[in-house]
Amino acid sequence: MDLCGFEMSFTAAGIHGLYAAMACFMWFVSLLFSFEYMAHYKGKAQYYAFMLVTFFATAGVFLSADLLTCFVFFEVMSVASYVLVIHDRSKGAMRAGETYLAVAVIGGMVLLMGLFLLYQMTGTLKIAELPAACAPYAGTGRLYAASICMLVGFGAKAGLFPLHIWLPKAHPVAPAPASALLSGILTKAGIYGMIVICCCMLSGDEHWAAAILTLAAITMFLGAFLALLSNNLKKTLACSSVSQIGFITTGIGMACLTGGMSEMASKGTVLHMVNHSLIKLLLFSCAGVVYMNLHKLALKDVRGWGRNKPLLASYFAVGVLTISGVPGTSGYISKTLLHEAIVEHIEELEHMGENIFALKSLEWIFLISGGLTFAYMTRLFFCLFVRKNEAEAVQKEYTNKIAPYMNRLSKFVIALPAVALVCTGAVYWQHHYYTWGNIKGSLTSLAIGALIMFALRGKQPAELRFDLEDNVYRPVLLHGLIPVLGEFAKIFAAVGETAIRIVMPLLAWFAQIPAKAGDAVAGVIIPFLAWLAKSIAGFADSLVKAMQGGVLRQIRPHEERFSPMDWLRGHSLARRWQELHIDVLDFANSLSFGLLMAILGLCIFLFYIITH
Amino acid sequence: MNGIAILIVIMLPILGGALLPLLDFDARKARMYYVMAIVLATSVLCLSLISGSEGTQFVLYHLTSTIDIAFRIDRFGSVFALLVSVLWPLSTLYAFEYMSHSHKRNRFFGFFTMSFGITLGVAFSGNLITMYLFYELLTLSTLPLITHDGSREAKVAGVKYLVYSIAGATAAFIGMIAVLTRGGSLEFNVIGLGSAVTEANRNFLDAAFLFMFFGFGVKAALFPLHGWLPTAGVAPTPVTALLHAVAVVKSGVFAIGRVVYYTYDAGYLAGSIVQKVALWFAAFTIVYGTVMAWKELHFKKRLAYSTVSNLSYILFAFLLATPQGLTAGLLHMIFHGLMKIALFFVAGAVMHQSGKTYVTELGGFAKAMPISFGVFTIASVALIGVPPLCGFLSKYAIAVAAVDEGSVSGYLGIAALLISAVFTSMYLLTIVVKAYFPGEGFDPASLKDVKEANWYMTLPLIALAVLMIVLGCLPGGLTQFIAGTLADAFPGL
Amino acid sequence: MTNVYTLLKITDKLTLQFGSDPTGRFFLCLVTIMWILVGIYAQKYKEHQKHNARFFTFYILTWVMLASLTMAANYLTMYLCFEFMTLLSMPLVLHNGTPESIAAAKKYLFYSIFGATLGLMGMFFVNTYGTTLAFTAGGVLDPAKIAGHETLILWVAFLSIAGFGAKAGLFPLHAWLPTAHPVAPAPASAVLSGCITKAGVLCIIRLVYQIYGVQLLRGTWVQMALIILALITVFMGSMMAFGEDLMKKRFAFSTVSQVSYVLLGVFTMNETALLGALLHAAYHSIIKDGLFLCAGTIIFWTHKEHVSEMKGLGRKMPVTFGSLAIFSLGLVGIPPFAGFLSKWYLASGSLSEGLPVLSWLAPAILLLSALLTAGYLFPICIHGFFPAEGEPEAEGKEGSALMLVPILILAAATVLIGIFASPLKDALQAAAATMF
Repeated sequence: MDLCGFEMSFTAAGIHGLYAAMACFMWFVSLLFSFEYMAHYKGKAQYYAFMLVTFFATAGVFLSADLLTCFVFFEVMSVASYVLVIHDRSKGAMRAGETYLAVAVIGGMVLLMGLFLLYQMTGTLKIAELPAACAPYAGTGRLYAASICMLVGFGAKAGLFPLHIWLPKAHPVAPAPASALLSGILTKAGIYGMIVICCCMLSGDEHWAAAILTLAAITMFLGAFLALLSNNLKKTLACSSVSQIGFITTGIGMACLTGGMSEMASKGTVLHMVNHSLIKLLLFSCAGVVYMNLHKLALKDVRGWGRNKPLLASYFAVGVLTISGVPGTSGYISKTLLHEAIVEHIEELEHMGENIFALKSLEWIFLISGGLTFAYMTRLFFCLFVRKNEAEAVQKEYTNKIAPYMNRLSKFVIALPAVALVCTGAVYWQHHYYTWGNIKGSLTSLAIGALIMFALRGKQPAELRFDLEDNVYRPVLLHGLIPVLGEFAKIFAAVGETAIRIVMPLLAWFAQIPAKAGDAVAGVIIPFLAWLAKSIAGFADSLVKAMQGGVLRQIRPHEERFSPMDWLRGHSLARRWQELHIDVLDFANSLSFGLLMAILGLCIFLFYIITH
Repeated sequence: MNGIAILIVIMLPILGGALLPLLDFDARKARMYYVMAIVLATSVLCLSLISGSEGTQFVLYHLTSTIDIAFRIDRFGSVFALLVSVLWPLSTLYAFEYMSHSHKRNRFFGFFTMSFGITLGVAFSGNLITMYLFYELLTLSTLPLITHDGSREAKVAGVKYLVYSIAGATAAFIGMIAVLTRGGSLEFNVIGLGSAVTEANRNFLDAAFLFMFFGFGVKAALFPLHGWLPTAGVAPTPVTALLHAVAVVKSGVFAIGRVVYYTYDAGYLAGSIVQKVALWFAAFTIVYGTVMAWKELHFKKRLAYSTVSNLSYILFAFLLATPQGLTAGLLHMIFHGLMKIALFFVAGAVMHQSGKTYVTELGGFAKAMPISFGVFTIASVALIGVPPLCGFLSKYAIAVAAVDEGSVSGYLGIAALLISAVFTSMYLLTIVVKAYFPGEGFDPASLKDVKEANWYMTLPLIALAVLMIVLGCLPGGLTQFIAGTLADAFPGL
Repeated sequence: MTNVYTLLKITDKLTLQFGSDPTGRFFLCLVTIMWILVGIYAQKYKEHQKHNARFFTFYILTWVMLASLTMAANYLTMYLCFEFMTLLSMPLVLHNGTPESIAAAKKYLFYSIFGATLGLMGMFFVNTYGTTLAFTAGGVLDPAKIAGHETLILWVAFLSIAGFGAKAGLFPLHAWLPTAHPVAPAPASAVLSGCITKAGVLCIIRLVYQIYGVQLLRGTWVQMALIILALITVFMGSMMAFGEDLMKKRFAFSTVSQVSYVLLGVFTMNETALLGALLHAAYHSIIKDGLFLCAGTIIFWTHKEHVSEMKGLGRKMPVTFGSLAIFSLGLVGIPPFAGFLSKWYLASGSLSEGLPVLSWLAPAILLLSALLTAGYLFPICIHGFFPAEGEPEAEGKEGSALMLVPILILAAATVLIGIFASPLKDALQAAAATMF
């Protein structure tokens, strides 16, 4: 298809088709659940419209056969789902939306940069052609640069540490069906991209795999840990998602490490993806039912609400058991596959006599995280369905209220993922996954979880005050980077102006100096010449005076007396000169100056001509 | 016969003007017909002379064996005569209206008309000495025009003008004598110094050139000798317009052109140190004048500074001492005359109709005086150098000449030219903007008494605007006419 | 250039010639369509202002000059149209008649004329060192003549290109844009920002590809310097827009930044990048015109000019804010809206040019700027549509059809040209190819 100015290509093979189908299923369930959930909300039209846009975009991401197409749908998905996140309009929702959009846009742009670099290098973005196209660049900095950029983009969407920040914020505030989708499948779009990076572009690259596994381990543990500390129903589930993404990433990392040779890693990854999607659909829907009835999510408020609601409890139990990997569930199968992939590789390395410390620690983090999963999930279950509320009045109200808490449609659609999970678990029942070695891993995890549960004994741990976004990203960005860049920009913006402000007055000032200098020179020379002229004229006067001798002196007292004789004798020459002086002094001066100059010039030249 | 015709062209306005005080017309109309008849007759005669009598020479009087009073019609002088004889009738017409309320109109028109003849004398002089004679006469004949007001300020301006001019002329005279003593010829039909140029003489002749350059540079308002020009703005507008945009200042420029291409020659100057010094002074004046104009708020003084700048464009072009430089300079001489006289006319019309003299007071004037400000806008845009108006062509020609010449000083000049263009736009377009868009708080009632001047004043304006546009679009004939000077100045070409 | 028509032969070398080539035709279409749409909008907007006859006179005259500019076939004609466009568009800027607007108009005039003057200087040298002034693919400079004067010619090229950059808001001559836009009437800001800046771009394209020639400039310090200037502008514009509260000033800074995307593509000097540049010119025209019209509508009905006052307005003016959202998405470059494809070509063009550091720095800065664009545009829509709880109810109402229809057409164009980009892309590819 020729859209957006380039050839858009699609494929439905393998994981593409699988996840497109998953998307259909997920949207089917959550849309149907939405009918009841959203019944009392405003802005339903907007909600459904954006649900559908997000659906098409997500399906587009999974079906795309090249990364550019993928990117186009990826961006549409990010923006459209933003509207779902902020559907509540509450302060928390707006704030979470801000984070979500920021991560999505930043991630999207960095991803685009990665695509630029990749395309520039290989000349293709077709996923099928990438392995061959990237092979010549294996180990080069350019390929790493492209991959890192892309990882940031996809990882942000998937919720990989350290870009997981949006998940625990956005999920609690979004409507439950939307959270189910955000968590269940939108994150998988990121995973999908990471699979492309790790399995198509950098397959078998040990350094890369090590980096991915490190991030995966941190994500896995951190998510679980945060989930344990959380005291909000949906936030726990969101943190759980982060943790599960870590599990999936571990699988991807292992697949990358082994260069796609490990069938267990690949299978485990895909199976865990599917499992996680279904589990989160189920659990968030259950949480949605709680919220729909109580409009509360804090654990201490909802405690004991489900004591007389066996159907909901059983739905929830399916989710809890599967996600914890209790044997018999499909969660057990996927986790075991992932675990075995690690163990297998450890054995291989041991066999080759290489250092296995790193992988060994990974395995333990894997098991401990699994244990934590079990712990926080059972805690949730107990809290909702077993324990009584601390406030007795509230508990009484919960127990006595027997009105239907969800309608038949919701009961049916929430059952769908639960049934699907049970069926998947059953399908694998006869397989060879239930050897002691396999079950041992699972049991270790469960034991750890039980231990933690025991240690806590139902106490609510204090919530972690430290928040990566509030304490690191926002300060660094808003109070560090942006002001600094802003100052730079201001400097640049002012350069032109400032230059003009400086140059113009300088020019004006500069122009004034010569103007004044010219006048000043004239002001010195002309009076001097005037003085000279006056002196000469005075000299002439004195000459006349001298010639007149004493006569002049005698006549002076009788100045009023006018006679032509006197005039001729020059007595009144002085007087006339004075009159002239008052009246047209300037004229006289200038005339004499001009004449003087002329005379002077002529004299010089006469002198010159004579001497030569 | 043609020799006598030259004399007639020169003497007709001089005598006619001199007679005017004696005739002492009382009726305004009668004086007008008389003056107009003389001016028009002179113009027509002059135009017919320059179109048909190229190369005519006429010696009036032998002073010594080497010095005589002689006239000659060549293309270089004809260009100047053309400019003058086209603009003089227009200015005279304008002056009738402008001076209608002034005192001593007989004296004014007398000297005004005499100046015409004297300027033509400068144009048609056959050698430097004759030119010098008319040059000095021009100073004297225009002095009463500058001091016409009779105010103290006018007198001071007159004195300043006199001091500067005479000092300059004296310096130029020294230079002439110097050239003569070394065996050079001052006749314009002899190009170059010929055998006078030897190694030993070179420095001496260089010095003589600088004497003449700065001497005549006074009238051409070359920095630092420009001081008289803005001060002389106190004169009545027709005087400022015609004399200080065309006749007087252009005669300075013209004289330098004569010195560069006729007394000396292009070959002598090209690449010499004196050429560089002169070019630097011209380039500096270009920038200096334009910056001062931008700073100046008095309408006519702003235009005067603009003249300072533009005259140096022409000097700069002449000093490049290349064929392109010569033609470009002459082109700008003509175009600048047209543009600047139009600008001055508008300034005068504003003063005449409303008494406003500062550019800050012109808010909303365009509505009151649409024709004047229409022309002002055209002239401004032309002076900035926007094609296809005439100013662009000449500036373009100057710049291209500078590029072709290819020296550092040439590039310096281009830079000066461009800086000047920007400032020109600032000091002229701010007036235009102010006049057309007075902005908030402008009270139209304050201008209800201001009206467009009558046709005596607007007709010259319209004629100038038409000339600016037509010559900008179709300069073919004019450039060809100017190109005729090359045959003289560059005999080898 | 085909069908060259000589209007006037001033001298042998100086002629006023018009002709058309694909690039010119593209800009002509773009400008004319924008002019009509904004003109329709202005029919309603004019109720907001006085002296409408004057406004529309200069509005049309500016278009005439701009259209002539796109069809100019030689340097002189281009310069002529450029100057007259400046002079005739200035009254649009100062239309409101406030002291600020008059000052802004003078500033606009000064920057434009200063830039044009530098451009004029280029013509002086091309006249001497070139064979002709007519636009010719590959440049017109005569290699025999420039031998030995390369440094000079490169300086001239740099200065004249940067000079025309003043119109396109290229650093350091960008300062007129943020001053002029907030004071001009909205339709004027729209065309000023969307179309007149593109005149600067077209002039630069002509100079780079058809006067100096890519051969001369590629790989020299001039190319580097111009790219660096463009990058500084891209960064600075979006950063300043990010910190600006006055809506039209924010958009003006945005223009500063976005037009330099286009210039970046032009300076990269290969076909891909030029294609990206032309595409971005089209996209930016459409989007920025749309944005300014939206701003105008908001100001028209509510008299609110600051972004911080617009919380909750989206509910009252859904069409305007909806379009605003589409324009924002387009300008950030979120596919499938217009704005993405151009960035793609700009970046891949830049990367394939292989200049040291700049090749990858350019896409990086483009993306940083895109992020900032998101940062300064999205909050307007978000706060408009989704005011946080407790915000007081905003006053406002939706505009009339005359205002909404042009905005909607532009919004539709943003979406449709984004999705069905191929016809435009193919046409521009052909246009870009004629430049080499």
